[in-house]
Amino acid sequence: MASNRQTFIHLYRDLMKTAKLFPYTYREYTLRRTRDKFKGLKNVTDPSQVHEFEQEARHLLGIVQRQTTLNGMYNKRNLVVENSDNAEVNVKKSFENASQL
Amino acid sequence: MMSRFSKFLSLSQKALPKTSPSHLGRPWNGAYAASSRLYSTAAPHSPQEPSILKSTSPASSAAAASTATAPGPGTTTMESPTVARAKATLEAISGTHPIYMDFQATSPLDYRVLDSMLPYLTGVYGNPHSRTHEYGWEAEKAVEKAREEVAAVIKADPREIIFTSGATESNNTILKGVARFYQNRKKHIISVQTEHKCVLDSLRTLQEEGFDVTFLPVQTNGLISLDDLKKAIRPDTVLVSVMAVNNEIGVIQPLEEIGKICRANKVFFHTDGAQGFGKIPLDVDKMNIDLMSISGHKIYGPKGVGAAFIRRRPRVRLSPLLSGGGQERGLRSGTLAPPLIVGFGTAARLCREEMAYDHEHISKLSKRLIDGLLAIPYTSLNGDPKSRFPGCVNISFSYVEGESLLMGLKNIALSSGSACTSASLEPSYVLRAIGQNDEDAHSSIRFGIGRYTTEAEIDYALANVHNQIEFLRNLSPLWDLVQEGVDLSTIEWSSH
Repeated sequence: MASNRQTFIHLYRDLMKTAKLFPYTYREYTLRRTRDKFKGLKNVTDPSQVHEFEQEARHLLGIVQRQTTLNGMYNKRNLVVENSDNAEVNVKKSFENASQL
Repeated sequence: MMSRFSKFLSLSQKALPKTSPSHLGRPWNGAYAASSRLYSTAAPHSPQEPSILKSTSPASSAAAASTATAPGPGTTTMESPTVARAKATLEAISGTHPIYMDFQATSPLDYRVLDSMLPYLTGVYGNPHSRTHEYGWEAEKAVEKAREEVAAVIKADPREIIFTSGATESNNTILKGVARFYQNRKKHIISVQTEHKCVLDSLRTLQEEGFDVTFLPVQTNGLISLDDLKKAIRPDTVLVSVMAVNNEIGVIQPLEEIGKICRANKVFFHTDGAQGFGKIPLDVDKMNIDLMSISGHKIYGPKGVGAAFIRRRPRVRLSPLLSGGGQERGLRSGTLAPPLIVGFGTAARLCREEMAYDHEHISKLSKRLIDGLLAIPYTSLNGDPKSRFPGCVNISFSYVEGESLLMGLKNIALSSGSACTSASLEPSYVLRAIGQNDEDAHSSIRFGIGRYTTEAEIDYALANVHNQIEFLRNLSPLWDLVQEGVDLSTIEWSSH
């Protein structure tokens, strides 16, 4: 259905945007996991499973929002494989996020 | 800059005793030497240095001491403190932390696990054993839910799980408890030479108490021989302890076959599942496992929590290690920690749900890493190539010294051998048990791959290892001999 597809697109976009505020380890994992999970959504047809998926995705979005804030408040260390140009921007964004809550 | 330097010079000259004006050339004074680079006058001062050194050495050491408060040897210019601090902060966040490849030692806490723990670290603080009020009931509910999650991973009954402080405590409780309970009739225990230190040490304690312990040898691939096990079982054997996944070389022992042999001989089968729980499928009924130790911090859970699986049907009895209020079926007294246990439960649930996905990801990265590392000549993979957990890769690099290799790989968090043994200079007993000579055992590195490892990290590790091996081998005269084709074992090093 058109409205459900829109919902999932918004969910995916929100998850990816919020996950970019994580430090490297969690960020890479969450982006990869979300991408693969939503790819797997194409094969799911049963409406109750689709609904369950949406609930889980919303729950995960809440977790990611809380945890990006928490991680932004504490350890600010960047790994040697990280692009140091982007690192500063991400850390700053986490701080902004934290101040809004 | 010119004005700042001259200002500093005038300030310091007020503090210093009268010395020769050529401060710029002195090598022990970092700030001066570095700032002298900005000036081309450094060269003419150098011939004067020896005379300066001889005549004014006590004064110069005083000079060095009094300028110790100047900006440290790292800075090259005179900066104000705020600028220096800002630069330090920038350096701190611009990618200097090493990447983590030591997942067998411990694993980072999953953020979903932390999220589930936080309510129990803030508002829900009751003692789960308080029977009389809401605080206790809600804590107990959470603990029981976590127990179900942990049991579901190994297809056990929740009543068969008791929470402990970690796999070491579980191993101690199980080994000492079972042995001491049945000591009147059964006095023999069988284990393996490559077990974890806590298992070996517990069995050593039991040996001192009068038990007979047989340590089975392993073949060169790290697996035990089932015939050895069958021959070692005696009528008075009470327990066989074989770890599921080795923490140093990553081999998976043939648990189903061992379980069958033990069940046929009415011997209890204990397995240390710290590295295997949640990573490989473990079914306690299919594999006839009677006892298992589980660790929380290896499955992206909190440190300080673990569990012991103790079968109820057929019942395994054990005499408890900790006496007290009779919690955990009387087997482990002490207040349970709801935050840690809830975290452990969430971690177990995540492992169960994502085991296939994580295994696929880790296998892909492991293959990439192993192919890249074995492309270097004179390297070998330790442990069976087929029956292994892909996340633990232990490679020996010949003609390279292990400690110097590790020190050159400072940007990668690695380990040579297990965390328990890395403090001592002794080569790992596990590698010695699989038949490696001491030199190769010294130059073995264990790479750990986990849920969070990325391809970029693997490529970075490969590039660094290649560079460091090349650098170290080019320094080594033994390597030159090897390249000429000389067999090092034929060389007579001393003419006795």
